[in-house]
Amino acid sequence: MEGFLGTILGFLGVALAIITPGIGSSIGVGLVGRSGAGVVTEDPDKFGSILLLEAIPGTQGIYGFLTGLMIMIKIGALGGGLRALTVGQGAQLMMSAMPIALVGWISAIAQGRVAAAGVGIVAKRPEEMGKAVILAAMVETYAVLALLASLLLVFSVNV
Amino acid sequence: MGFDGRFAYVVGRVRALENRMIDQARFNRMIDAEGPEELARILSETEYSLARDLGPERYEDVIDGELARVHALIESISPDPVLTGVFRARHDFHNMKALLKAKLARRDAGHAVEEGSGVTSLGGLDLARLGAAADMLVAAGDEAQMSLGAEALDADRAAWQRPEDLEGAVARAGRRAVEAYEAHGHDPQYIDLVLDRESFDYFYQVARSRRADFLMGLVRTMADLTNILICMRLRLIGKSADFARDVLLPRGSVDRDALLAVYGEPDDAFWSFFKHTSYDRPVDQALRARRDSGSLSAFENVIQAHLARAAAEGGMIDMGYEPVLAYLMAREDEADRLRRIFVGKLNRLPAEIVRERLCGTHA
Amino acid sequence: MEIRVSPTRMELLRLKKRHAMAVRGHKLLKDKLDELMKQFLELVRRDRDLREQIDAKLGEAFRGFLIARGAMSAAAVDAALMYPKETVSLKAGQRHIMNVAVPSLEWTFEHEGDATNIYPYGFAYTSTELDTAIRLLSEAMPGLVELAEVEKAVELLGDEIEKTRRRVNALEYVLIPSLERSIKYITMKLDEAERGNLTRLMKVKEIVRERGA
Repeated sequence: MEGFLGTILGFLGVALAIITPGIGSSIGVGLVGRSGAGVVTEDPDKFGSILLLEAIPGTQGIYGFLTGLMIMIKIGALGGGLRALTVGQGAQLMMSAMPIALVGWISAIAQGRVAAAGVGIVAKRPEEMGKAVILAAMVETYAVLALLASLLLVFSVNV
Repeated sequence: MGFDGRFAYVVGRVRALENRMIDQARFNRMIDAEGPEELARILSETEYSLARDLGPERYEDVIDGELARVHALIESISPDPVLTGVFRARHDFHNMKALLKAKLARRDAGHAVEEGSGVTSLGGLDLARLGAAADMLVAAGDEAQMSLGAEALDADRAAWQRPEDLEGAVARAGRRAVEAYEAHGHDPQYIDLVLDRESFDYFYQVARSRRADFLMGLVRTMADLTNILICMRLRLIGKSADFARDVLLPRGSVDRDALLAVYGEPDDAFWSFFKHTSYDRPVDQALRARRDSGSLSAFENVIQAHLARAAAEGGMIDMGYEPVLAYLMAREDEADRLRRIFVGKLNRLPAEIVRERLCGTHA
Repeated sequence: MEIRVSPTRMELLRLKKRHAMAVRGHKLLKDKLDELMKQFLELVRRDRDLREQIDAKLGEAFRGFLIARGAMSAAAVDAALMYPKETVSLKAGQRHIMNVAVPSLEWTFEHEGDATNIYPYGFAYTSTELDTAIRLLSEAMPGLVELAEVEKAVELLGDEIEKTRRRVNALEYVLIPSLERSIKYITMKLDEAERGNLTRLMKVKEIVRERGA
């Protein structure tokens, strides 16, 4: 029973790390996509720049997936050798997932908004696309920091 | 409502469309065009492609055609067309005005006004239905005027729950206009006055029902600035404060009673009233422009420039109904400038005069 | 002109009377013509002054309208002015200049005395330029009515002058000379008859004297 609960907590960590940044990213990408579709309707040539902007809020989902993957490796979910975790270990792993789970979720939406506004820049001044990308990429900082924290925490757990 | 993702697509599209608006350089080329034909040719290079087929004489059709197309486009892609197209309703109120006046002029003054004159195709409502409503109102004005009263009030209250019922709002405004017309001894001016006031009330109700702060602020600013213009004109004409009470628009932020209290004061005292409002700067600039040029249109132009700036602020908001609203207003503004240029060119006015008349509004 | 009169004393007397009358009529008509011309010239001068004033005023008003047309759409201007508030009642009468009936127009605004009542539209969606144009037009109105009156009077007086001049000319160059010729012809005929008579008498006298001698 003891090992069972620990494993569940570990799985919960994996789920959180993958689900919430994924949701955030899909909202963000969706927003940019819709906004971009408006521009492309009028101006199909801008598709390339729009696609780049649209991809930016997608990174949080990848970070989340990466964190989830690390936890999976940690608990041996890959390759069939699933370890029994104590409640303490399981809770540690779950908490390690929290930074990217929360920050990834929120920052993806925020980044989506910035990128959607950046679509406006691309629509008006295609030559300033670099600036639109930089503005959106600034939000990325915090997602990267959260990813780093999560990964360090995951590695620090002794299983 | 800082951010509204529902508007992502329409905002993106509007941002792309804004690129195709006529820029200052092209406006300058138009002003300096040799004659109406060249003007039409320059215009046909832009979104106003109709200009090539119709030619300069039918510039009204060219401009209206393009505006109607833009309104229809935005309506079809906007998640909340009532909100984004709220100011299009002014054309519907205008149509009700034109229809009522034409019918009443025929009924009461024996003027044979041509059917459908003064009506614009820019409104969102079906003209035939509006015409039928106006027919009913004019007929009701004869006998059944009294019976409309109480029951209609209940209908009013129910209707304000649903401001998207523009048709209802226009019909109701029309009924009030006819009542005021009858009450003031068949005075056609009251039709205009009532419908103008009701149109601002409609804008306000739409803003309130959507909790749209930007629109609410814009409606207030529009009402206030228009009221400033109204005061200037009425004082010049020599109308009393009593009459001004019927003309001033509702829903402004400046207290109407306070404004009317100083209405009769001499110029300096009257205009200093605005020192205590947020319209200190525009009023000051407008007065200076009027003093410098000695023309009333200078005053009007300054006020209208302020209005255009207030509307353009919507474009700064990244996502929501605001940029769409700002785009539509900018297009109406653009149409306005084009109309001025066409009138100037068709009448062979010198380029400087056309520019002066234009740049006042868009310095 | 052919003269077909019987050269009798009766006729001569009649012609002389007619001639005297024609000469008197000619003089009277000539006086009338002079007076008409005087009145006519005065009216023409008034007409020219009025026209200048009106042209200036209307020009200004139309320029105002033009600018208002630029500031507002055609539909907006149409609707604004569709149902005029002010009605003018015009009373047409007659007055006589030198027996010529000319029109006299009297007009009043229905809302007499309230010059602020000429703007039949709302103020929220119209331009200041429209106010100016309407005011100028309204100011031009009295002048326009007077101009109509004066122009018609000038036209009628002109007709009358032409008619009178034709009469004067007919008298001066046709009737009077022809009467004079007729009178002269009859006088000559009568004189000739007289002379014939005289000769005949002298001849008779001679014959009588020869017989007697």
